[in-house]
Amino acid sequence: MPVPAPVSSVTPLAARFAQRAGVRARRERRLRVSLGIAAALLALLAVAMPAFLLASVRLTPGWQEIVLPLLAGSFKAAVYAVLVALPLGLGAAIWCACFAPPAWRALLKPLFELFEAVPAVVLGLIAALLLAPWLARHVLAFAIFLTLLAPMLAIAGLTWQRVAPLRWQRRWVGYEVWLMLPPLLLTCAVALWAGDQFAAAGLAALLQPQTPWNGLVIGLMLGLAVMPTVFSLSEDALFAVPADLALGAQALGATRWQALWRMLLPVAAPGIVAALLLGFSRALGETMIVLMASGNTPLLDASPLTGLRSIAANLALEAPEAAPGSAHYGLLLLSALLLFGLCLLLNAMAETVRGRLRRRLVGL
Amino acid sequence: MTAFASLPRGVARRGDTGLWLTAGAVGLSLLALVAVLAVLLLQALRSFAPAPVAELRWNNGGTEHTLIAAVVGQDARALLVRGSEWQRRGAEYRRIARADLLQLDWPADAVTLHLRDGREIHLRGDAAAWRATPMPLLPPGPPGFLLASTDVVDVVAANRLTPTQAIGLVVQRAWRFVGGAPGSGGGVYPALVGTVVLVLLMSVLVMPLGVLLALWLHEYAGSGRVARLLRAAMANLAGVPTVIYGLFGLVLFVNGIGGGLDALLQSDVPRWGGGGLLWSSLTLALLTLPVVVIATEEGLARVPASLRQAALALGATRAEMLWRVVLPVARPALLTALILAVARAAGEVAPLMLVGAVKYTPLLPLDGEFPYLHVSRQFMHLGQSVYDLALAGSDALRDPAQAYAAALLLLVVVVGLNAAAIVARNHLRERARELAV
Repeated sequence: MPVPAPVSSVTPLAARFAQRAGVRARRERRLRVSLGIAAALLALLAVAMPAFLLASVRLTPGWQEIVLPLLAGSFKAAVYAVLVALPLGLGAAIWCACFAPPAWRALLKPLFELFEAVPAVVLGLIAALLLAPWLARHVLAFAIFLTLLAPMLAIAGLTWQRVAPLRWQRRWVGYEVWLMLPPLLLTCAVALWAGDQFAAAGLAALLQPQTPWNGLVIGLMLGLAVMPTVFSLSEDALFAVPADLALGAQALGATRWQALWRMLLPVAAPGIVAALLLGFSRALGETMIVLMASGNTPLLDASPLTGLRSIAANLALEAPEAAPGSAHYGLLLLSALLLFGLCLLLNAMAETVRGRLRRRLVGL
Repeated sequence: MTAFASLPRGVARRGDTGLWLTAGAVGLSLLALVAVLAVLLLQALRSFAPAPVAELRWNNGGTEHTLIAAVVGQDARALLVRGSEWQRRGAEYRRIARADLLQLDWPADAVTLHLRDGREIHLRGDAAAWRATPMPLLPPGPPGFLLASTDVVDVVAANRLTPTQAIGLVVQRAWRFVGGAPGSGGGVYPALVGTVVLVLLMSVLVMPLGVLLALWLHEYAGSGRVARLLRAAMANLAGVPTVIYGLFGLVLFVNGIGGGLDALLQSDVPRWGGGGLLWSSLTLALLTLPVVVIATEEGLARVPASLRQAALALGATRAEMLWRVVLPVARPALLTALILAVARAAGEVAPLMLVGAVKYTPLLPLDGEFPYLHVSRQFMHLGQSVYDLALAGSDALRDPAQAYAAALLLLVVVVGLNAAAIVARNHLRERARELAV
């Protein structure tokens, strides 16, 4: 943008203006140049990232035997993590966006987003030293907890709807989470007790993990770490859907859940799919939790009761020792390239799907 | 507005299974969150709590042994005790089956001496007398064992602590843990210094570049093809796994530039070609660049267009408008960006394992020797310490306990920073609303 031309005049102000014109023009130029340099650096970085991987990759014979178990390990960890993160994150997002009173929402959303900032190494520490040994002794209890959880919550909720006076129900609208805490804790207690009983009866061998550091532990902790990502993105998508849709459905006699399931969720579906994809991508690339709590044994199997070794954890373990230019180094970079490509692909897919949501919301 | 604020009579009694399941999901997530925090807090506190000291007599294959030792764990079948560490920290753990125990006393005059290097010596005597003894001390240890009284950090009458004394001891030990060097009972001071210096250096590197980039993307680039491509690149860089950044730093900075520098300077020991502070902060700067750009762009978008137009109408050039009007108004956004970047960088461990954080180094990156800040040195990092203490410690019981304490410290720093960013952002939003009116 050009500097305004100095006006030829003799007033002192105008003279000063004219005097400073050169300095101002120089500043303008300097800003433009430095902005250009910054943009060029970004472009360079964006090109250099994949280029350095591609340049150092070397395919040695037998690479599949080394890289494939790692890839399988990464997928195993990410799939289990998403299996945990999706019900928790999506459920919490639905409740937060549609059922929670505004004050609650204003509290819950930053809380979960703050949880996203918890360093992975802290979660990995808890997973490796506490959760893994505990879970190894209580796999049965955990399995029972999983089976009982949904039925118990549903029974408790439906009983409340049938039995509680309408006045009470009106007062508790929006605060159903507190009502769910007693059945949740009860389920925990029942599962622990039943697990001990079954273990005493000698059924523990059915589900005995081969190692305390296994896919189950990874799934739980990594799922907890990824949950805020899924929550945050799908909550945004659901909250952006106009509430009129739900109100209209309710006016026509739908229950709250029917309105949500038939009206809101289909509209917000692209946003939720994007949240799922990004959560998966994040779980694939997460290093510390997997490094600390997975046992790091490269296995080609999908069981939650065996260990795994993921690409990211393998990089953190082996890259500092690999000699530059060696075959080992080349293979490490190959696995890194795979991980990089996968994450890039997932992010691009998520971005495309989110674009669709945005267009759909504009249409409404 | 919430979509379902009302409860019409007609639908109140009709089952809403899904609703209850989503409420359960919130409850379960909150429970998990609380459990994680509670466990961390509890374990961290436990690592500082003093262990009671017992006098044991037991029978081992026909021979009788006696020992004064701290009881660090027990179950129905056995006791886990830690005897006096005459030689080496963590070397005197012993598991004694309850069946073999002949006698177990908790003598009231038990004294624990804490030594400078983290060792403990348990004996019976008068704590006050031990505190007052001039050097050298002669504890009833192996023949010839001599102890300088300057080595004794702390004398604790382990079995006679009142609750207030115990709490005071925990606080004192926690303080020494934060401020102490490793070896003196395992402090995290060097790791803390390393983390802070690393993060400061990273901020100096990333902030100018990030703000310039955000300015370019938001104010100059428009919506041409180059701008769109670079925007997509930025979004994708944000999604790249952090360990890949570490690998990038290792290949480009450490092996590439650092190795080249070493060859150029003809140094026979790798000075730049090993990992170091500079390479780590550069790597972290790349990693946090998207964070800074996205947060700054958000702030720039909130500056009302009327302010820009007013500045331009008064004859300001674009540079002047940006420098004098837009950036000052967006200052809270810059602060938010900085805080978020720092929080992200402070909690990141995986890339640092590749480019220069080490388990132990005797030298701090910042000291009194010229040039004061040693950017080519390897350094210790809080997150890396958590990892190393937890999985590669020399003391199977005390090191993991300290890992919890270090993790709690890290968590407090990172979560505190993020909470500050949230507050700053809210402040920005309010201000933007005021300006827009």
